[in-house]
Amino acid sequence: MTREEIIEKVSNTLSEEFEVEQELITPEAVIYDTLQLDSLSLVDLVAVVQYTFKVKIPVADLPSVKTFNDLYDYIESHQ
Amino acid sequence: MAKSDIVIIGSGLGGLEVALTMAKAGRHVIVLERQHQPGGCMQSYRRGRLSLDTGLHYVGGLEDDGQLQDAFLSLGLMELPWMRMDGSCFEEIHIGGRVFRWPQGIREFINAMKEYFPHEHKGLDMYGDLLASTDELWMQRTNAWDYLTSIISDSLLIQVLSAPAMCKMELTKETLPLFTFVHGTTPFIQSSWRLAGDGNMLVNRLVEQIRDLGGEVLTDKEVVLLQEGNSGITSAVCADGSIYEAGLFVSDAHPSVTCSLVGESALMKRIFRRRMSTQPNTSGIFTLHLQLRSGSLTYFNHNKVVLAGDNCWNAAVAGDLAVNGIMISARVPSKGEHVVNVDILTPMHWEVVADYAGSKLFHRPKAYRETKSEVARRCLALAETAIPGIGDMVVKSWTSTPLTYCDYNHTPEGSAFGFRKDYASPMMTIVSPRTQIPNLMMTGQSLMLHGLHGVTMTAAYTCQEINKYIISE
Repeated sequence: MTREEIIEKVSNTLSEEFEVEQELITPEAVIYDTLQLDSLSLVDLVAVVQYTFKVKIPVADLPSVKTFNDLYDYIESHQ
Repeated sequence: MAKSDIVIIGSGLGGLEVALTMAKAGRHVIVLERQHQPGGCMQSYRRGRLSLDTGLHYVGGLEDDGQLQDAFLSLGLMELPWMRMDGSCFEEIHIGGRVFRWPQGIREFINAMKEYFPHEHKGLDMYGDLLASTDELWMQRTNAWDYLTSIISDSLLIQVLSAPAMCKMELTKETLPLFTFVHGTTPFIQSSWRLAGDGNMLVNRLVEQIRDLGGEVLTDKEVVLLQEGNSGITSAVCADGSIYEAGLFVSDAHPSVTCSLVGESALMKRIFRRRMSTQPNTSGIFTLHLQLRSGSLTYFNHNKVVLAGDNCWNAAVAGDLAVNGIMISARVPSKGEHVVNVDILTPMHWEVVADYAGSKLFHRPKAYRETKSEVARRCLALAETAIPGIGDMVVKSWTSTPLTYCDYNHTPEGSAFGFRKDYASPMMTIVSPRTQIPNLMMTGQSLMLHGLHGVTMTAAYTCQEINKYIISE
């Protein structure tokens, strides 16, 4: 999957699953704020990425994934 | 419309334990049970003059300072007639014509295994350390099969150490966390107990106490909708039209069922529902209940575990009627020294009975009955190797399958132990009691730990989360 395809799929899937406006999902936006994640729904983010991209994000890697850009990088390098 | 502090959906062990704990804390609780009888997996059912159990056969950790004793004391369950199983042999394992006996006590157990397997001293010492380990985080992230095979090289010993777990958890090589394995093994080695009576005895004791404290346990109350207001659930609507309002709701149903009860929601995100409904479930259990001819078999105060081949891991296979292993459990006789009721349990995959899902109880198709008969015949044939002549002692028999669990307990795919835990994804498979709806909590075997001990620990954790919520409000 190309980076452009990843960006488009992340945007479509996360806006659908977390019920937020697609326009809010921008490369520099902070994931936790945009998706209103707490310790409970953080698992759901991991689940979406796993279901959609078949990429597992271990707990230890989560702190390095802050912005959507970080997420695109992570998926691109682990797919 | 009825009002209370807390409404609990489902009267399985976890639901009743949460209800009693919160009732003791001064809350008015109402438990809503869809079936005619409370208890979920703990309930017993009557056939003829016998009361038969599917979920309760023995428990571990009830000794002084044992892992379960404190919880059972506070829940009033230590007053029940628990009978300690044979200290020198509470599990008798039959593999390939050889018999291995498990004594109670970790040191005694390890020493007994060293007698059978003198070449495995080092591995067994490490296994003894493992059973006493409290490093939960490490065990949750370690594969049970990989760890066992890394410390023990004799494949027969691995089977001897694993066989009794076959009907207490899903022994899956690829996913089972070491934590689940150890949790389902250690308390039983420390001390094992049978109830001199049926599972209803335990259920009734909990229900009586809830009612004594002013709480209600209502049956034939199937919750069909959890109605959401601005900041959380406001009421539970039942199929008969009755409505129960409360400040807090706790669901003891399977998490996917819980999510399906929540209607249109601004609080529960789609991904949460999707995660709860797509998480893989563990396989089920087939139980053959036998009524034996009076005076034909002397009571045995241990379980007999019999393997058909040399492997008890990955025993439940989709669509396969093969019986790879069984556990034989005897009900404590109400009088005399002879046993009247013996249960034989074996793992069973949902796919074996999936074709018959949707058929009504007591009106199942002939093919389903034939499937059950064939599995029962194979179970009995295997039991003959441990109890010669048992087939001739049988007066009557009954069976239950994953389909029975599915219908009675509303458990998807008749799963016996709830969500399958995965050492590689502990974050995904260990589920919090909290949901995205602040006043909707969950409890039960799918969340953290399963089995009587695990569900009790999970219920205590749910109560902690409830207390945090109450304080924050």
